[in-house]
This record gives sequence, structure tokens and C-alpha cells, in this order.
Amino acid sequence: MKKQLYQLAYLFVLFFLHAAFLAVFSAESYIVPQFLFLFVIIIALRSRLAESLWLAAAAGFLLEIYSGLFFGAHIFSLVLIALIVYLATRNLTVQDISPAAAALLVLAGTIVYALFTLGYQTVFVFLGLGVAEPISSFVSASGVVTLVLNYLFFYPLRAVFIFFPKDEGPF
Amino acid sequence: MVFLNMVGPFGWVLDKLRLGSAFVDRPLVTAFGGVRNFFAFFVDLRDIARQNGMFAKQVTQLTDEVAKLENAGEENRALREALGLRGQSPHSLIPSEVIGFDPQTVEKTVTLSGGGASGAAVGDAVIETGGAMVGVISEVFDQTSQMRLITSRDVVVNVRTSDGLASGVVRGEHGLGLLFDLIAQNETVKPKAKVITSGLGGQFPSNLLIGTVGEIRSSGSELFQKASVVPAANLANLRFVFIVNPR
Repeated sequence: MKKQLYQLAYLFVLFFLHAAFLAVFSAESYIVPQFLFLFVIIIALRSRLAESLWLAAAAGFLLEIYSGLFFGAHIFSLVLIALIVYLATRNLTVQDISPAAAALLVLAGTIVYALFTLGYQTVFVFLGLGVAEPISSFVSASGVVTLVLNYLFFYPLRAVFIFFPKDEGPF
Repeated sequence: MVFLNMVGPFGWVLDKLRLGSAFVDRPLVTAFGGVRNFFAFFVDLRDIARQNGMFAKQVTQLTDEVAKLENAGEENRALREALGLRGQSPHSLIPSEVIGFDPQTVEKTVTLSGGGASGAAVGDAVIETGGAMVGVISEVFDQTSQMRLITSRDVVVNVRTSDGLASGVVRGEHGLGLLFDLIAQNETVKPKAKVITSGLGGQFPSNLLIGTVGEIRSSGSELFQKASVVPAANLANLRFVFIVNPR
């Protein structure tokens, strides 16, 4: 329980940081790392499946607060990413993730996250419930900067977890 | 949750969460803004001298323009009084603060602190403190609302040039700029002409400044003329705006 409270508190701190950075750097939003997305990946790497999915949904919900996309795009995308990361890494991760594996996770995750939100929005646009967004809103050249920053912030954000209480029992 | 959001109650929850998170985030935004401004100062230092000369020239021009406008305003007031017309705009302005940006579509969707309780409604025009139109309200909650920037492709505004020589519509170009379109071939559109709302259709009030004509893009063989428009407001750094309530 204590561990869950730590994780939830960390999630809120990252959300407020993310929202504040976006407010300050609104003209250069691509230089803001996707803190909540990284949080979801890290959680999926270290926690049980149910816990990962709940926290991914919570992170997605927080992103929905300022989102202009149809409601649920971030929840849907982050829950799917948590599931994929959990299933893909459960038998590979031993104690620590290598820099190459982390880079692959963040690279693939960032792209898949954008594609999932694009797909979700497109479905609701076809249903006549959402407003169509150009693909450049989801995938663009400036996204490379975000991708690099995501990778650079991955390890520092992950390092914070050493202060959290340890999980008991097998994952 | 998607269903709840569609039928309504979730909007109230998101509305309150936006206000709450904006309140909690305020010290962080102030702190980060200070840090950003500090570094931006050093980055911009080399431009300051050049800009200073340019601004000095502009001050002289603007002072001259203000004097002319004051004179014209006085003349206008006297004429209106004489005609028994109202001198003031019939629209009320709802002051709002920009409290959030969409992380995914930062060029186009902005969250404002003014909502339905203040009188905002979907389709209302939004102007910045200088009076230039910056967007249109796309979604309204009780205490907050969402605005689509004028550069968004789904915002279309009936406009004319301030000299009255050309009229048409202005639409966004995928968040990148503005296009002045549907200008008849027999009309004259000049570079640097001011583009203002025409009030045609009744959706937006007339005479709101949009920007100035940039490059004229069309040839005589096309049905309509087109021109790019440079927005009058800096859409990247909006902080305080007004929602124009036409009711």
C-alpha cells in the first residue's frame, strides 16, 4: 500500500511538472519530455500487470485534462503501451535494463504512443464524434527532439524509484 | 468513461480538475517562466540593440498614427452623437486566462479560464489584449472552455481588408499560418493591407483585426485570388485573452 501511495504521488508530481513545462514552453512543446509516458513504461517494467494497467489509466486520465483529442485517447494509448511493455519485457528483464533496450523501448514506445492516439482519434472522427487532426500533430520531425529527451530522462526518472518501498513476491 | 464524457457528467469533472491543476501548477509555471525568461534574456541580448532602433522608428510612426486616430475618433464620436447612434460596441468582453495547452495539438487547442458561467458559448470569437482575434471557442464547460486557434484549419472567418477593396474568408493552414481565400478577381488585395472581420454571417462581430496581408499567391487564371495573412497576435505566447460575447 505504501508503495502504491509513493507511485501515485510520483505520478502527480510528474503531471504537474509536465503541465507547467508545457505552459511555459508552449511555443516549443517538443522540448518537453513526455514524463507520464516514461512513468508508464517504468512502471510496466517493474510492477505487476494489474498495477501497471491501473497506473497507466491514471496517467492517461491526467493527460486527458488538457487534451483537445476525443476523451480517452491518452487512457487507451497508455494502457495498451503498459500492456505491451509488460508482456514484451517480463521474460527479458533480469535486474537492470541495458541502455540499448531502454533506447528501443523509448523509441518504439514514443512512436507507438503517437500512432495509438492518432488511431483512436481517427476512429471517433469516422464516427462523427471528433475533429480530424493532421498527422503532423502526432508525428513530425520535431518529434525526434522529444524522442531524444524521452531517452535522456528515462534513467533519471527511473532512478527515483530506488527511494520507493520494494515490491513483495514475484511479479 | 467515454460514454460518461459523451452524455455530460464527465465534463464537469474535467472542468474542476483543470481549474484545480491550474491552481496547483501556478507556482511551477511562475518559477519555470522566470528561469526561461532569464536565459531568453541572454539569448536575445544581441537582438536588443537592433530592435531598439526599429522600435524608436515605430514609436514615431505610431505617435503620428495615434494623433490621427484620436482626431478621427473625436470626429466619429461627434458624428455618432449627431446621428443618435450608440458609440460603444454592443458586445461584452469576458476576461480569461490561458491555463493549459493540449500536449498533442499545442498549435491549435488552448484551455481558457472563462467558461459557461461567465457567458462564454461555442463559436464565440476570442481576442487578445491588443484586440486582435486569436481563436474561436470550440468547447465550453462551466468554469473553463477550450479555444481553437485561428490558425486551425477548421476555423473559417468572413473578412475584408480595412481599405474595403477586397473581401473573402480567412482559414487556418494546419496550425502554420493563415490563408485569405475566395477573393474575387475584380477585387484588389494589396500587400500589408490590414485584414479585419467583415461580420458577414453574424457569427463574429465586424472589425476585429486578424492580421496583415503577406504574399499574394494566385494568378489571373484562377477563379479566386489568394493571399497569405500574417497574424496580428503572437499566438505562441498567449497569456490573457477576452472572449467576445455578442449576446
